[in-house]
Amino acid sequence: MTRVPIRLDGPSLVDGYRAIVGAEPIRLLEGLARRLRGRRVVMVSSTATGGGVAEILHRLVRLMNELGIPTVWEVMPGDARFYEITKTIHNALHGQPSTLDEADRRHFLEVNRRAAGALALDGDLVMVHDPQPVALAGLRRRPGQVWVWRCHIDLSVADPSVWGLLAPHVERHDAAVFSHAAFVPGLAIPSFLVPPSIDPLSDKNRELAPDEEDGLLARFDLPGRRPWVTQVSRFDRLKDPLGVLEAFSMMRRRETAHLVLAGGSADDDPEGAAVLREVRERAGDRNDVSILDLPPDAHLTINALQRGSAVVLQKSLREGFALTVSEALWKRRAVVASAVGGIPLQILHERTGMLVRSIEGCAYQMTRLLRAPDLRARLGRAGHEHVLRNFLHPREAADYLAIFARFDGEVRAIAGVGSSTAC
Amino acid sequence: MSAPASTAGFELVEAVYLQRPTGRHAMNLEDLRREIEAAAPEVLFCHTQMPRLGEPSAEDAPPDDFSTWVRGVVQDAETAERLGFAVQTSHGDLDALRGSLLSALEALPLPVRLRRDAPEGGALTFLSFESIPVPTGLRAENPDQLMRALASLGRVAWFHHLIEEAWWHTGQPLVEWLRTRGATRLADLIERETLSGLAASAIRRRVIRRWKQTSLGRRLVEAGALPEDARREAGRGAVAGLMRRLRERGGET
Repeated sequence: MTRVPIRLDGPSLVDGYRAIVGAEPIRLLEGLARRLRGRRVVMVSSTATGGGVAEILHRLVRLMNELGIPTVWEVMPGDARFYEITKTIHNALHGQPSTLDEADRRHFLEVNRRAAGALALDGDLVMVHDPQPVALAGLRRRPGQVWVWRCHIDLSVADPSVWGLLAPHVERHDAAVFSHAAFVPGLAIPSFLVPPSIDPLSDKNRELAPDEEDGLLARFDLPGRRPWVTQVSRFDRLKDPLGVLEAFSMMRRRETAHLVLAGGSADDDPEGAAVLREVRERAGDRNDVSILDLPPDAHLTINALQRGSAVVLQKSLREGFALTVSEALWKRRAVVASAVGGIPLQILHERTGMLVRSIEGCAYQMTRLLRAPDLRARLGRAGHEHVLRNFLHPREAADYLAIFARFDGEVRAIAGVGSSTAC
Repeated sequence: MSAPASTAGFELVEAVYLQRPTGRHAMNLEDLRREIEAAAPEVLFCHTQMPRLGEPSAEDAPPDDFSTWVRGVVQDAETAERLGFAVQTSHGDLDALRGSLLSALEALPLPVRLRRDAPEGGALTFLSFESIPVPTGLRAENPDQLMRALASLGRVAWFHHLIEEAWWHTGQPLVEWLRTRGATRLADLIERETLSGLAASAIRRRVIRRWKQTSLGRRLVEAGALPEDARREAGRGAVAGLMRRLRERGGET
């Protein structure tokens, strides 16, 4: 099975979002959906669980179906070697020197070729997420289709040899979408900027009753009296969990607190277990640090951990966007995060949180926030408002539909079938 | 887009604004001057007018991206003031805007422009935009219908019709449509508020408030002609609305 089943029953997402974001953004979505009436959309990614991309797609696919645009989500099948290769590609795109050889490149393209035969890619509009399925456009594209490549990764320091492998495949799409202007490489196709978003209705972000929150956290034996400083992230070197431990140790010389490092591994990340082992070794038998290896579906637990924290960290070395920042801001938490990738779009320094560039900076801002509950509350309120206006799913869905509408009109005009986009 | 001048009605449209990277950056004031000189109209619009779409609660004229960068990153407050003034007084005229921005920057000699620069990681990234129109399904046949329809829409529709269409001269300008239908005072009010540089949400609030005030007499006359039941119902509605506003005001304090 390559198609991800999406539940379409239960309360309406459209109504739920309208209650949160108001009428105007939903009216825009409904208007765009009318422009795209009769079109079918296919989303393609490499995994259905773990990581921000899978989380976004679970909701966006359902939302688009509710809006009357038939949308399916295809996951490309891969093998262990393919995931090793794509992890290497991921790291190389984040600036690590590439170790790919010719056989790796051939295998990468061979898995794409097999996927091109296995996936149902017969929509009018196809959105391919991230590098893993990037070659599909060249292998399966039909005339009249619109193909968009959605890159969730920071490409600003990409290894040129690896980007050189991907770029010709990217340019077989009609357009490319990036999360931040700094991530955009030179391309011969139009590029657009669309920051990703979070779902305020999901288990990870919805409001929790106090007893529900207590129940979710009871099994972890976390201290009730000390304030928690929490980082929720995959166990990945680029999230710098060892740097978090060091910054926490510096802060602990001045303040009392408990560090929670909570995360898991995505299906397509074979390095996660090794990093988790390293973090556990470094923490040793400290009783002021809890390391929680969570399953991919621990959304409610993450929600409760973020809500229960005095300060939330995201001390990444590199990032695509770091949706965990918007999640924490949505819960009105004070956030300390690295000024990398898309984080400065979410954290406006001293207004919605604190941006840092070093371990010392992280320790300093943690200490400052732990000593100032009023400052934490002010940042939390402003952060919530910032996310409400800019980083919730309805805005991202509207951007994607607008891109589809823009190219759909162009493609149909070229094909001589008449444009449905005229107002 | 809005209806052509030959038809009677005015179609109200909203839009999604897609940002596009240009690949251009400025690290100092000379870079900024050079980029502004060569920038496409969409780029200048994006950095000087799109901030007016801003937050729904915005009450004032939001700063443009150029003066924000020069003040906050380059830390040249005087040049930032001049750039801000150039944007505020350009009145939707692209050539005037470009000329005023360049004059503000060229007031500094080249070596000074080169010296006043951003720290590492502080470059100004130039963006462009594309507007994807979204029909609202609302169509007005006369000025009163137009105002009622506009009042039911949020800042995006106001930005599209008052700021974007006026800048690009696309569709039929809303103020012109009002004037050709005799609503000259309303058109003047909207034009004045639009040229003020205020955020779209602030223009919306101010115009609706004035429109309601000026149409109070006419609405009273209309209400007087209604049957007793309808008048009583309208009275209840007005009291309920007043109570709601008082409660909201109480909640704010």
